[in-house]
Amino acid sequence: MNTIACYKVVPDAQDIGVNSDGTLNFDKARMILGEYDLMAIEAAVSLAEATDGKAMLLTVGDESLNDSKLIKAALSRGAAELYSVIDPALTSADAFQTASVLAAALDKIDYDLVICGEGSADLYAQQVGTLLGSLAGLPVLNSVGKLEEKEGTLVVERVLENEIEVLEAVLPAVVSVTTDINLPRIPQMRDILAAGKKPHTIWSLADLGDLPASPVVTVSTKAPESVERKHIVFESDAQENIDELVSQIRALG
Amino acid sequence: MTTLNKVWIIGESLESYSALAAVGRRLGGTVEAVWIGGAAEAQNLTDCGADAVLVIAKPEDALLEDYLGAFIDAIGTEEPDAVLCATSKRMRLMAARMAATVGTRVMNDSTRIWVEDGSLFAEHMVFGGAAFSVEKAQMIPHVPAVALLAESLLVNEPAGEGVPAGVALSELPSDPKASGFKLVERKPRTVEAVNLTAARRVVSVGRGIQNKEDLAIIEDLAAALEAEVGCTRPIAEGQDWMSRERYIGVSGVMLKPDLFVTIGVSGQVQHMVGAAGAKTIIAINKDKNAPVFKQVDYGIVGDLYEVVPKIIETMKA
Repeated sequence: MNTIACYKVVPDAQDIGVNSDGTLNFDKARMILGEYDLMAIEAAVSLAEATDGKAMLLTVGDESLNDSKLIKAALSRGAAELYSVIDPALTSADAFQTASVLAAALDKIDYDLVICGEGSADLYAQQVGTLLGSLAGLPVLNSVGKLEEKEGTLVVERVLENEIEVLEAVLPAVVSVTTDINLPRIPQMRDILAAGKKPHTIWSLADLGDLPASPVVTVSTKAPESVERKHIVFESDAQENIDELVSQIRALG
Repeated sequence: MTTLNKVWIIGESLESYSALAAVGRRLGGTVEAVWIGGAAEAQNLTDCGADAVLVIAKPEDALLEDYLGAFIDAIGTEEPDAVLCATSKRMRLMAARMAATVGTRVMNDSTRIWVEDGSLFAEHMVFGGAAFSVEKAQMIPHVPAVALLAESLLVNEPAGEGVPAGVALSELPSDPKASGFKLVERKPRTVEAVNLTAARRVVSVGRGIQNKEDLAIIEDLAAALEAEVGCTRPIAEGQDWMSRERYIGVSGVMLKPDLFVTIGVSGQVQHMVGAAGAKTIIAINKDKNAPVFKQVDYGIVGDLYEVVPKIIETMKA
């Protein structure tokens, strides 16, 4: 079974600062692979390995994708090749635009199953996989916690709030996997070295078609205003401090 | 224009509809509840606060996903201006499928939603809680806005007054369309019933706790405070010491308790944002430089293994 895992390159949340006007500052944020996309990559690689297929990677974004460290970080996780759609117009592509570009890219690749993560590590809108499947006209499912081939059929387990559905999929299909479907492998030095030699195909939007406008626009992105707090911190756990704390708790009613 | 013309509401459970209808009434002139399931169940929705109940008949055992096509077709014929969905895994799939079909994206995990100058606006958390984005759905003919409403929005929505009751029930076409997935079996999933969003008091534990067994003292404290227990992500996902239902963080759980007590929590934004709406925040941490102390009303610098039993004892005295 030939699989494709989609991933997104995102700014590392730990390094995002806040400007005085509440907008976010990305100056110090290095770009990394989306944390939840690592499970999609692992799922695509392990399913391909188990079925003598090929695992591939697909990503869309701007020039920041074309960083050799990021490419190696992705390809060192077991996939055979990488397809990137790189275009300046994709810098702030939203979920709909991203899914549209992914769908156009899928037309150029031969595959049985596309796997997306639960959500991107930056916007976490948890919809690109489903939008992609729908736009590509393929069967699509979210919240998949297990993928297995049984006698030529793909069997998936879908983890819902109060039940697990076991389903058989008609291929090709698109699924989004949960964050606990697997524990992503940690690439070894030889994997990282080998990653540099794997094929990498780069397309621009000109190769795929126009970027559609999105009917939903982001008006603002700002850090929440911090709530005024009392900031009374006792530097020891002396009984009088505990008494004071408890009396404050009791005063809350 | 301060409201939309027609708003549809849809949820996976009957219980979600009165809050959905209350939000719908705030946003739209006409609110129609759509139910995919049995007509008998839909009878329970005639007093939910919507102006009408529309039913897409689905046999009990059939996959909801096989009826999404009928729902999406109905959007095309009935033309609601917005579709508001209660959040669940199924509804996430459903919302994104309908959004893609009409050519838009979902306004996901909306913690606030309102109409301004005839457009629908919604706010949701991004960058792991570091920020909130405001999204605007430009009202384009035949492109309804699709929004998933966060649990915290629904539980805090005031009930509407003078809402219609005993409204008519009508059926929409309900031809199944194969989703491409065939149900083999359903397995029950035992999850802990915990509703942090509704809790008035929450005690949250982080990595300062050293062993799973030690959670007992946290539970004792929660009992003394009559609080629910939550945790940071590593406790639920890395260590598996507590169920995922209890973790407060990027999952989007937004709490507005009267009291939020953190124990051994460093104070990362991803966790603390979930409790930013708490009236009073108390932290216990042995590191006096922990970021958490910048975000509290009261703090005690000390070893949780000593502080927590002392608090419990003092509470009981």
